Amino acid sequence: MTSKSLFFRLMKEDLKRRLWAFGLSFLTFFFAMPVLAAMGITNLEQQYALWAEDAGNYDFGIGNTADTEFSRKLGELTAECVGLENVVMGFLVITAALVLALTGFLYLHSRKQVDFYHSIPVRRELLFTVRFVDGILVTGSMYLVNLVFTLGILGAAGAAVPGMVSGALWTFLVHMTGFLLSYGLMTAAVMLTGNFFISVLGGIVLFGYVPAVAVLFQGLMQMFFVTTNQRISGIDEWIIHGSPAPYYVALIGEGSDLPMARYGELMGRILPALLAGLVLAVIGGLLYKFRPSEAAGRAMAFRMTKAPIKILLVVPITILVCLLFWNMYYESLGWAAFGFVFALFISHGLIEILYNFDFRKLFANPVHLGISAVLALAVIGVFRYDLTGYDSYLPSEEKFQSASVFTYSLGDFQDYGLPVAAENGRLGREPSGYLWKYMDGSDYAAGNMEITDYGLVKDLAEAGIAAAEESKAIRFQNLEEPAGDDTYMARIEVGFKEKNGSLRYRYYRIDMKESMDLMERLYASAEYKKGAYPVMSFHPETTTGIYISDGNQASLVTEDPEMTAELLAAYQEELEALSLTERTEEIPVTALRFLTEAEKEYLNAISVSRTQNFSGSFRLRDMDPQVNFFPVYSSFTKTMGLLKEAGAALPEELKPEDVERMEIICHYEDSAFYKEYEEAGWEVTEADKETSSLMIRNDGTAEAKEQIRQVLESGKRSWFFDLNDLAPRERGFTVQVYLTPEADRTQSGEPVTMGFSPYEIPEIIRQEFSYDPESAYQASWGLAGKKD
Amino acid sequence: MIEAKNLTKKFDSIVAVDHIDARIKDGCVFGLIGTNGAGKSTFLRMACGVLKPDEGTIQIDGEDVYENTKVKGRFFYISDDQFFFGNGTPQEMMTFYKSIYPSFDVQRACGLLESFSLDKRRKVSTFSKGMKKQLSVILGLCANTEYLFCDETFDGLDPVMRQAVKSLFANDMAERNLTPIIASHNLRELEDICDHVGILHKGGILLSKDLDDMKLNLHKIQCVLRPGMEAGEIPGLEILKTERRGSLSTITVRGTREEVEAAMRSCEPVFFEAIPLSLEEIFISETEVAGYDVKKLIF
Repeated sequence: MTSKSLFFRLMKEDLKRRLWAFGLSFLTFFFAMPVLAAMGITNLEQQYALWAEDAGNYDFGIGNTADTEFSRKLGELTAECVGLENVVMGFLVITAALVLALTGFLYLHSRKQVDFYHSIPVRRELLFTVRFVDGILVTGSMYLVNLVFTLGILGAAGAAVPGMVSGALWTFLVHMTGFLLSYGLMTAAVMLTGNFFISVLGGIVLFGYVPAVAVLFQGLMQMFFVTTNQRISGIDEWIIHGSPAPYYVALIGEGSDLPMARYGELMGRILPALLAGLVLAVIGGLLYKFRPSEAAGRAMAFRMTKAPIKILLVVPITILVCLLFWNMYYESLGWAAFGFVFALFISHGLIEILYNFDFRKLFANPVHLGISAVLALAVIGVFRYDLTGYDSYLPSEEKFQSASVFTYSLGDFQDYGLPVAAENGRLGREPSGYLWKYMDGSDYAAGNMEITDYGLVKDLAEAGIAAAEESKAIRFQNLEEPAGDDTYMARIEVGFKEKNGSLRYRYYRIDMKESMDLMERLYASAEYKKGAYPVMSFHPETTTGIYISDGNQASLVTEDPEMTAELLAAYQEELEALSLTERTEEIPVTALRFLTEAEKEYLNAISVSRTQNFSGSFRLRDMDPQVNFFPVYSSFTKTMGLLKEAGAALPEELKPEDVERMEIICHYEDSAFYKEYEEAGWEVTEADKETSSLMIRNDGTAEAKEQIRQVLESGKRSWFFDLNDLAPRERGFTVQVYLTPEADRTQSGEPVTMGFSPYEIPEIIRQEFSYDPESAYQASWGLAGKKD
Repeated sequence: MIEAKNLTKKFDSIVAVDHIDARIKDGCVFGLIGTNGAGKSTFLRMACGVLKPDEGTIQIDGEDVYENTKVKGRFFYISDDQFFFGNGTPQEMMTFYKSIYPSFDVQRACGLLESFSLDKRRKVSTFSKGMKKQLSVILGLCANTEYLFCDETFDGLDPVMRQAVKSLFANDMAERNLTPIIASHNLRELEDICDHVGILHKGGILLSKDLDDMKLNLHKIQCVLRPGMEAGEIPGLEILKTERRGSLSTITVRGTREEVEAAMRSCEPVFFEAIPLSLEEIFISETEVAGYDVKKLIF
């Protein structure tokens, strides 16, 4: 008998005994796909009937009808049923993998069955392969059967089946990849153990060990290292790649963001996972081959794995509990020692009990206990004393290639983003087919900034390292914190790129005022500005026009290519020349948006989707007046000159006659405002004390006009303050200015919100609210600090 | 021929089989006898390739058994608690074995099942312990392998069935030179079937001999010697044991019947008679020589 025919005979015999698995898989997948599709279609048909009955009351968007809307929703339903949006399938596939691996090889835990299977003239490799392949076959075949049913149901409802087959098959491949990974790992857990309960525990360990240790390391880093944070630690990658389940979930998540037609793009993620699954299968096979038959019924199949596995578990558990106690009791060494000893003995003892199924083995193998203790202490020591030099990392000039530097403290990143074409699929819920993807400043800098000035980067890093050392000394040597409330601590993220391609991030906290020269040098760097401001990389060819905003409303400046190019060049030139000192003094006078082709396309699409009667360019009101607008500072004379030349409506100074009324809201609790009322016998509640306000109505009197004039003269729109955090700002007062209908260009009735610099508080406010700059705790004096 | 050389198997600190040397000739029934924990099952599990020896080898016709499908195809192993598929029927078991052992005789198996009144469509899980033993023997015999390893197979069979199984073994031995290797804790159970017996104790082999050799070379003499003469004074006798009640002596001696009778005649006793030994007595005599009280080990 050839081994090939024996393989199929054995497979047939095994499958006959696993009919329950076929049945269970079929049922679960049946509910997760065909039933889901049928229910969705029923709902959709009911919806369609309503649309047909009362077509006039539904707005399907321009050029769309009830039929096209039905087709679109059917497409969405398809992705929800046979695409990666059907997340239930992910859960079911992982469950199937665990159950099939456990039940497929559970016979290895029974001496009776081991005697039976291992005495017959069949090689163990073949026995393993037959069982392993059968598990895949059970899941794969039942998945495909239900997939065919589902496609049939969707096709009968009118869905374009041929177009979805490819996506559905890619989905199948993704799920089978996730299955193979989970199945392979769980099989390895069964091979390493000899008892059902221990197999389950083994599975939990294998699935969770790397992510759990990664989280523990992250905790250790955050606890002991000063120059790291969650974002830059890179732990997420370990979590995703350290276990099949997170990788599979991430793969599904990534795929569900794509339209079904583009699932093929996942190949780069599927292929390594498939290879990893095959490697796990080979490991499982080798473990089976070398697994002693007498392991049936024991806790661990291989004696040689007992000590390493135990130590690998005891060490992180001990560290974790030790640190929990340390943290819980205000970094008490005594409690940390208690947690250490407690966790060490308990975890080691518990594992010994499980290994031997004997409670009396609680204190067995004291040598292993000692090794675990030493290793746990060593790991804690490495972090506590930073023996790897993590916090003091600084590449040498020879190794250094470039660096990215990002700090929110320079206020360089506002609401920036870019449109993402969503086509269809989960992201296609937006009728326009586009989604807006917000950009994080640090991500943008990490991807776009390349500062090659080693001296600058080194000085910055050294300042950060010195601050880190000082901070550690204060913490661990109980040194006193330096006095002074005039510090302006900046969090700076530096990404060091070395010539060998390695990229390491460090996170520093430095005193901006002490490092002002350094920050000036950084801000003066063209490479810094290029990586900090997306506008510095804009090109006239891809810029369709320029818009201006006052924070409430956007308006077009120009679409003329020549003027657009000129304005863009001027803005880029002036932004590059802008110094940090200027930033600490100037409040922007307006903000510009250089609309890219992609953004215009996006705005067109969302405008089209929102009205049937739309034609031409996009509606201006669909443009968010605060997104992707770059501030224009008062020193940007060239830009402002060109804006005037282009006829731009700069947010002109408001005139007293434009104002109907204004409300000055004071956020100082101890203002004299309510005290006066209290003294006059009025009842003033705590809520009243939190804010107080003064309403000035433009009743035509000279006094009102004067008060309004004072406020308008000193105040600036709040959004402009928001655009530059480095300049002084008094947050204790806001003014809501209600314009007359004639002056309100938006006709929205919404007030203009204004704020003040603490140096420019109008007299009316000083008097009414007894404003005292010395006790103005809500005043921010900016990076330059309070002037005398 | 099955040959174990220096065969050793340890389970953690327990030495289950301790440096055993044994030979099992083809065409005879080998009885492996020992108390519980003596190492019989471990020996068989190594013999059939379930367990890998820690030391030494076990070979069939010079080839190692472990992971050798060619060799494993030459035997069938009936464990002390044979596994049958959950919800499986004898018919399903036959189908399975047919796919594993190409020579499996389905027709004969069906016939034997009928003879033993076992329904081939009934779930094995509903069978009694004895019925399961019968089924496993039928399946083992019908696999048509050269060797049949039986671990406590007769335990649980009623006397009639035991006899029937023995007849089947005898038949297959005669027809196709089957070599059954039977492990049991009960010597009397194997007395009338074994050709060769090995006694295991605490993992080691105490004795491994042909029953015929033992029977022909051990004799019990009842005699009345001349007054004043002691059994030890008889020349030419290898005495293993002597008992005396009054003037009647019972002497267990080693040697051929002719040698023993000649020696007895030469001392001119008042009376002597050679009495055959039971298998039990043979074992007691043989193992006592080795310093063991075999009654405690195997009866």
